[in-house]
Amino acid sequence: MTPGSWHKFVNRLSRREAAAEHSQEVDRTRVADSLRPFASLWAGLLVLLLVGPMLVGCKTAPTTSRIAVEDYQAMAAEMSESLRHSDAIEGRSSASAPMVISFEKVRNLSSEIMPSGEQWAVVAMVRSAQPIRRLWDDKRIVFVIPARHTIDQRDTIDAERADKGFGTERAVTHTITATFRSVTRAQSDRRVDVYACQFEMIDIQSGATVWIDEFNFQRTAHGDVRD
Amino acid sequence: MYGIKALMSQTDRTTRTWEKVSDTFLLPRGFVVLLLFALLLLGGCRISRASVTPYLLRGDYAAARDVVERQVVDDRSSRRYMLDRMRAGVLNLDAGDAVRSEAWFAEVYDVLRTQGLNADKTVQSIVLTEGVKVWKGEPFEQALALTYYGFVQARLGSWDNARAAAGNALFYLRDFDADREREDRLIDTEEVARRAIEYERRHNEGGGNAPSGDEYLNNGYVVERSNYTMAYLLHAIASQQLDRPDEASDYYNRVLQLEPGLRPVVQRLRNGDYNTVLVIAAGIGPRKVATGPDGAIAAFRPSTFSSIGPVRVSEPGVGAVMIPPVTNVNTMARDHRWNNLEDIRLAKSRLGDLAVTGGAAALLIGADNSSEAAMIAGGAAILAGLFLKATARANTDYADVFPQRLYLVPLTITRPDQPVSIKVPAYNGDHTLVIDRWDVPLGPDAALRYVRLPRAVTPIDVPSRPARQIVPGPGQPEPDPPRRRLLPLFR
Repeated sequence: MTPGSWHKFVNRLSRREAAAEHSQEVDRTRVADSLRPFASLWAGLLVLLLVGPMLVGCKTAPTTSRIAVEDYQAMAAEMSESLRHSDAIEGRSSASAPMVISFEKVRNLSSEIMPSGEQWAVVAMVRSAQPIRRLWDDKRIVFVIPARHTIDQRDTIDAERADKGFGTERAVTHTITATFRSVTRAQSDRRVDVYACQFEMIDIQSGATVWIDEFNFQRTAHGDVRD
Repeated sequence: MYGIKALMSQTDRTTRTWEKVSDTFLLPRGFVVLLLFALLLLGGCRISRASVTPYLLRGDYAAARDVVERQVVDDRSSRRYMLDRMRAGVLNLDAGDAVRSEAWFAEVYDVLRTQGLNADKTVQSIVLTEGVKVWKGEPFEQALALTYYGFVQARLGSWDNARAAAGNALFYLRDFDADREREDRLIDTEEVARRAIEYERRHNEGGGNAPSGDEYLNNGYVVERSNYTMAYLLHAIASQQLDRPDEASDYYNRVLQLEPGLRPVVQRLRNGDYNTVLVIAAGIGPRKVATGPDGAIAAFRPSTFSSIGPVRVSEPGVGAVMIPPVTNVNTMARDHRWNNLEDIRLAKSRLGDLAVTGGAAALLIGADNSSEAAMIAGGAAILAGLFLKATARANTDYADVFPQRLYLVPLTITRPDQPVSIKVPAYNGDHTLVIDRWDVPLGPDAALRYVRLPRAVTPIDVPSRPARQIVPGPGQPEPDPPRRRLLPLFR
């Protein structure tokens, strides 16, 4: 091989190597270009996984279809109005002889679990509502806790501090019984409870029902019933 | 020479490539460590607590109760808030303290009746882990908790609340998806309910019948569709105690449809030939485990194996009766599993596999071609894949205090020291439990007594507390005052 042909051979080899290097560079660029969206996708997913939950965690208030305080307050107001316009009470005035009405235990036929303590809390809430308390001023009507319950309370842990005779000398003239009923309709993300609270007042002396009325209210809860 | 140069050039390129790999991942290294730490933390979102199973097996329920009550947290947003209370409620009843049990279950009930507690955590629970949600239990756990609340209320003499609790237990096992086809049932709720209540009031007062067309209107109540026999039976007994014979009859019928083997029990109950209802719990309920790819599938595995073995109850003067179990909790766990996130967890596991495989391939291609972008993509994909796989694991928090099975036996107790022998050969062999301290009901209402059988083979002292409205038996301890007060009524 002559020096000229060797030189040509080397030049050709160099060009081929340069071309090969260029081709590899082009390939690398092509691979990089093709993988760039892939990289962006996964990097984005990673960021989304870590940051997303913090951004999307908007607060929504949990709800319940249980009876609420305002329901009892509204019920007490309606009850007061109903009593004022009843035949048994309409003719009474502040000068009348006191009418002492004992709140007997609630009968719970609703779907709502109301432990004994809760039932008495409801009674206390209705008793102490302003419209009910005003009945004393206008009509000389007072609602009391039954002596039996008072005695039960006296026998509990605070017995030594309780007045042993408290409640036993009350001259109760009438009793009120309350019956709670309800109907539930629900789907997986919504529950509606309609409550009906019926009150019946009985004259102890005659045994006659002198007043009866019912108060309804509805509660709706949104959100997964089980979650 | 040029060959050597080319070889050296190739070696140089390879070295540079690995330097690039090294450089490329140098920056995120701290990030990777943080991510792995986060994954470890996510894995630890399961509630850690002491197991009380050994106490339950040997019948030391008070000790189990004490262990659980020491762990109770008062933070309502805590994941363990309800789980702790559910455990404490059950264990207090096991220990014979219905008053304390009631206090715990009142709080459980309050949480159960609150909807949308985890509504703002849906995305986090999907992307991260279920451990971020407040635990409310599987539907069967919710139903069991409400049934136990019903036992507690009946034990305390409140059959009206026992009825409500049983109704709620059935409610939480309803197939709500089926109700979607009946949209109209919700639209006119108020009117339908008003008429139903009106009917019921008239019916109670001896009025006429309401027009037909809706089950509520026909009966004033609806028999929920479920296969939870114990809730039906408790509802039937409670309705009977509340002098609602039609309702009781409908629920007894449903019991017989589900468990024809309970016919002798139902017959005796229907005849009113009882004044005490004895509920017997035996075994340990199923445990929740994570199975499948990356533990993405939650499953309940029996702790005490299912058996249809009856309880043998011997009463003096009556003889022995064999009564099959009313409820098998292993079956309940299988039938009423809430797998709403299972598809998502499986998808995460598979996507994680794909991301790790794809990421590894991209990393190799990138390294081979000296492409920084490809290597970053591969690394990110691997990390994302690992993250997905780690967070695909099912959460395995569950109430570990429920029994495996429940029996219900009607009895007529006339003396506080009347001996009644109980034996469940399929559970604890020849061991016989003799109860000879009873509360004899004073009035017309029946009493409910609950006992949990230990696995022990030595005689044990079955805890007993006098319930309200019933006469304590001789020598019975006075009930302790409740340690906890009920929370304020309306928070």
